[in-house]
Amino acid sequence: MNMNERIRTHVEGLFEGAPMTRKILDLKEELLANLNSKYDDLVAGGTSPDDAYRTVIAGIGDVSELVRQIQNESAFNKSIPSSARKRSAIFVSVAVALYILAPFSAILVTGNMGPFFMFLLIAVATGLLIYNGMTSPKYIKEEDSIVEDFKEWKSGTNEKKTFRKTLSLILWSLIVIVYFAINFFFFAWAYSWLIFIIGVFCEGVISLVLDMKKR
Amino acid sequence: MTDTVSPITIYIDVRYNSEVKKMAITSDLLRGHTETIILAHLLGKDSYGYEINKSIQEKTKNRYELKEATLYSAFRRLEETGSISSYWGDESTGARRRYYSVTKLGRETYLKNKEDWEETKEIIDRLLKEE
Repeated sequence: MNMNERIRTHVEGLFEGAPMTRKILDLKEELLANLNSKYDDLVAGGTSPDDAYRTVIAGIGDVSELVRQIQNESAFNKSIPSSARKRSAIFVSVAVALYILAPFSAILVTGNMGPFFMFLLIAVATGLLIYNGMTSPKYIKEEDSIVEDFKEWKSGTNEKKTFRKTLSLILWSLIVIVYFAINFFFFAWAYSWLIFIIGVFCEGVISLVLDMKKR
Repeated sequence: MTDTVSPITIYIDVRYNSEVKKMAITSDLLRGHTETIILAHLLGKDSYGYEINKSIQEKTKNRYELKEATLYSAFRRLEETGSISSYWGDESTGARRRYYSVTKLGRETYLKNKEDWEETKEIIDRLLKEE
């Protein structure tokens, strides 16, 4: 067997059981390149192939500590920024509180301004939710492996889904606002419900346009 | 394959250890300075693992050589702290080599460590002097 192959087989053995992450594969490649150079130098200097092989292998030392070190690095990177999660939680709580408060403002504030305040609160709450949805951190790739690529891809499609959801949320909030506005100002209770059918139609058109844009 | 390789490895490791046993204490002292030694080698030009180790061997006239595991472990630590950065070379033949280059922070670390060592050396020299 070729000596370089023998060195490779030995190194593969050393990394048996180690996770096949990009960092480990890189380390293996780096190690092999250096070991082969060393072997070539030794043989060129007059050492017999077998002795050169033994010297090269003996010079590696214990890689288990090194593997553990690399694994710890990736574990460290994994921690999700808790500040971002906290911020997101605050946004959602405030938005929900505003939704709950909205009907009360309609009751407490007399006159035409009542409904206006209610819709204002709803609009602010919806705005908060949308802002939160758009700025929340997505999954950060921690390893250049296929699994990580998949996770990122999945996170990406989830992001698209969140975008769709927020879009739909805006649309339906608007529809409800317009529905009440029409009713309060024009007293068109008999026909105003048609707006919901128009809403469904609009949503269909929007998703169609988005799907076409993707291609 | 590994079954046929490992007995040889064990035999070699034992022989290797008995050979270097007499300088085990020196090695411990030296090992504490692995990172500074690497930084010193990178000050002049970018380099890769084997080249650094070879130059260590040459400078010490074969009295000292780093184990690969020790070397890469130090590389990872230095990279983590931002003292060095790495990139892959574009060798036309054979496997790719990973090169390391020292950063500004690395130069500062080197100077500081060297200063520390000069001071330690002076103190120990004074303390070990025969009365």
